[in-house]
Amino acid sequence: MASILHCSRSPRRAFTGGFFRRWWSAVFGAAVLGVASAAMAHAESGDTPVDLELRPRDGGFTFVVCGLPSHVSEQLQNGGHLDERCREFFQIHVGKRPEADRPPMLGRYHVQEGELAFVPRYPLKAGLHYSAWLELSRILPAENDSPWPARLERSFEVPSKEQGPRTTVAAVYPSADVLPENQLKFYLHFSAPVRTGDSFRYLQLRDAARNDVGLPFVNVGQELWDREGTRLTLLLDPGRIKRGLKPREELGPILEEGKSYVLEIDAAWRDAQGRPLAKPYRKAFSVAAPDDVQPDPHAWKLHAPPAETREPLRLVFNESLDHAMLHRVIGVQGENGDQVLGQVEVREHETEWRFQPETPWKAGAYQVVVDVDLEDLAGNSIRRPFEVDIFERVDVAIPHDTVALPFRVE
Amino acid sequence: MLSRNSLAVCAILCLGLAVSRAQANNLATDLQKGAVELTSAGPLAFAPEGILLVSDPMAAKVYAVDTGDAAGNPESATVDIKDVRGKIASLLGTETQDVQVRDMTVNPRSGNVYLSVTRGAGPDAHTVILLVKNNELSEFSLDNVPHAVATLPNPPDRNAQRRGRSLRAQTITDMAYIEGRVYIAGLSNEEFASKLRSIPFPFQSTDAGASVEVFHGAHGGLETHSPIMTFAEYTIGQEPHVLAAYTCTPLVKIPVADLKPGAKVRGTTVAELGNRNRPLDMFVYEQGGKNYILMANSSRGVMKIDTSEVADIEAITERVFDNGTAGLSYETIEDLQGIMQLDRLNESQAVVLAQADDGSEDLRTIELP
Repeated sequence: MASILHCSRSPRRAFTGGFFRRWWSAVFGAAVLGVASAAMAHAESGDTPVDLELRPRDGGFTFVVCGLPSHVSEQLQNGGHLDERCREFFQIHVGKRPEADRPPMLGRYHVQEGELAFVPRYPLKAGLHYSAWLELSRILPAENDSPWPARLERSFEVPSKEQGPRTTVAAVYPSADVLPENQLKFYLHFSAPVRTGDSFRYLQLRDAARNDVGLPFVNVGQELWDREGTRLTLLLDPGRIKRGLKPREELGPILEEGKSYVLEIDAAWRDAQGRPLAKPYRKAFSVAAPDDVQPDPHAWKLHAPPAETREPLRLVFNESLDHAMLHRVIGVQGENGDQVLGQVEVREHETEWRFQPETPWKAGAYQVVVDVDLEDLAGNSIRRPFEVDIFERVDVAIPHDTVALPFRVE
Repeated sequence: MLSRNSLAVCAILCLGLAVSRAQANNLATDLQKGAVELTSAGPLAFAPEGILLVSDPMAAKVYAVDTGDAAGNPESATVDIKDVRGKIASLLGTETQDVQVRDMTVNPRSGNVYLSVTRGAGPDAHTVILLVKNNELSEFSLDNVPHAVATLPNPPDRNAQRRGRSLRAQTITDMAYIEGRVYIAGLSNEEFASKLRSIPFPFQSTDAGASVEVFHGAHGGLETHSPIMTFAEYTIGQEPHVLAAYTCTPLVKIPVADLKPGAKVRGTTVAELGNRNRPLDMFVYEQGGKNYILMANSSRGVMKIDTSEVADIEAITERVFDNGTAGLSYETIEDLQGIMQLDRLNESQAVVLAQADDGSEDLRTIELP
């Protein structure tokens, strides 16, 4: 096994005899192969041997056949259907040795500056082994004393990336340690992207006696990640939260008032680089009465900042609200309706929303605009409570998509 | 006798009909050649004429791609690839655990199988559509294909300018083409609202479709929020319906005619298929003059559901006792274990993605039970 291999010299260009041309033509059926001369093979023995190389290129890696006679590379280049032809005698596989029942890697073949190169379709993975084989006999038929083997096989290890700090669970929201019995969601934030697709293997909800709470999470097949792969939304099964539904009656509620639980995240969870998490994470909480009350923006306390400062505008809620949505669905508009740009900060266990403008506040009229989809911890939104018979109680629905909270900066 | 004017009107009408029929028969006409760049792998489905619907949940987009895949015969096609996930990993140059098969669908014209696959995780992840033809895996290149795209509306991010890209993303649980529209079931990773969206097809830039909230009765209460896990078209009488399966595991019928923009629709629960279970995939087929649903489940195996009573069955609104099942009758197919994905191949066969005892995944053809 080699790390990154390099041919000892630049591609061979000197030999131009008809002997190799006939060999090469035979490979592609263009001519009848002549009988090779041992003397001519010996004549080649002093030249650079044909070899395989893994070469860094354009931020990735390319597998290169170097040392090919120039007329061979020319015929490859000019023969058309390069990918189809080369796949027959030059392949790259994952692993130290190619496995017979595994297909070769996807990629494109190129001839550049006399060298045959394979450019993988997808980036090689740091730390993995790849094997390349080249049936030399298909392009340079071996003779008894020819200077090259019939088949070349090389294994390469892609250097590991510089290992940064191990990935951790950076935060879990809600951050409070007392949650309502009908708690709906958890947001798991990781310090770097982690592997997706089998997340539920690494998540356990346990009661105070460390017994597993069976099947607490909604698994919709597609996991609820953000685009960066660093935040997972974990939904507790709404069928066991909403009273009167079959799953809850048969399996019981997930959380019960007065009891304590721990959400555990297993350190065996691998990050995108394949490394386990730095340590396990435990989110311990106790459970209070269910929350069936919708958030009411008009009950929030708004603390207006003074003019000509960048002091934050503060909104104080009477309960914890959804951490993710607080960053997205509340904004500030000036008198003319223009968006005020600034930085949102969510504090005090998601009971306080702060907004610091990029430029100092000007005296005048403003309004906080809140989307009515904003939810509390139990999934009650400003628009409607989590448990509602929409057909019987349509009158309670709020017709607007936003609620405005006017304020003045003096 | 018709007047000359009447004849002219008739001729124009006939021409119009002919033109609209020609358009209806050629859905690929409006597709433009170009590159499709997927950011995430989601459900796949086939529209008529070999047009593959490819969802990109993270980008909240659905692409309609003309596969040009008309050769081949679903009646004679067979698929049998052992450890398909391992083989996909080899093809994509990585380890098995770095590969996830998100969905599988069969082109009903050719019998070829399409897979949506994710390689890696996070910002370095790649999304790939793979083709299984003559039992060989290859990439279905999206570099330059005739396609159209529909973008699902995303709610505004009021602080996006300052915050950069929003963390909110869409998840699509299932997608199907029904009667000239693409239906998409899904939910977001933030606000909890499960919706069934429909977009007219061919896609029109002026019509991004509409969402419908679907509710279903559950012994006195109304289940309002559960996401639809998998669904299929089913015609009752002359009327097209959606049969939708939810977690824990009600099967609900909804008339397509009720799925109007902005509507709140009450579906009818026609079967309760048992608790501690998640439906994974389903399709409808006919056998011996009767219709059945074949449904794969997370913990209750593969069910063959007899839909003879689906038109007239009384809605289930009471608590279900015993083993937690009621409504349409079904049998569990004991021979089919570990089935994760399934799609119909032809009159008598289906293609399944099945997990073996050792955790490897096989793609194979089965006889319809």
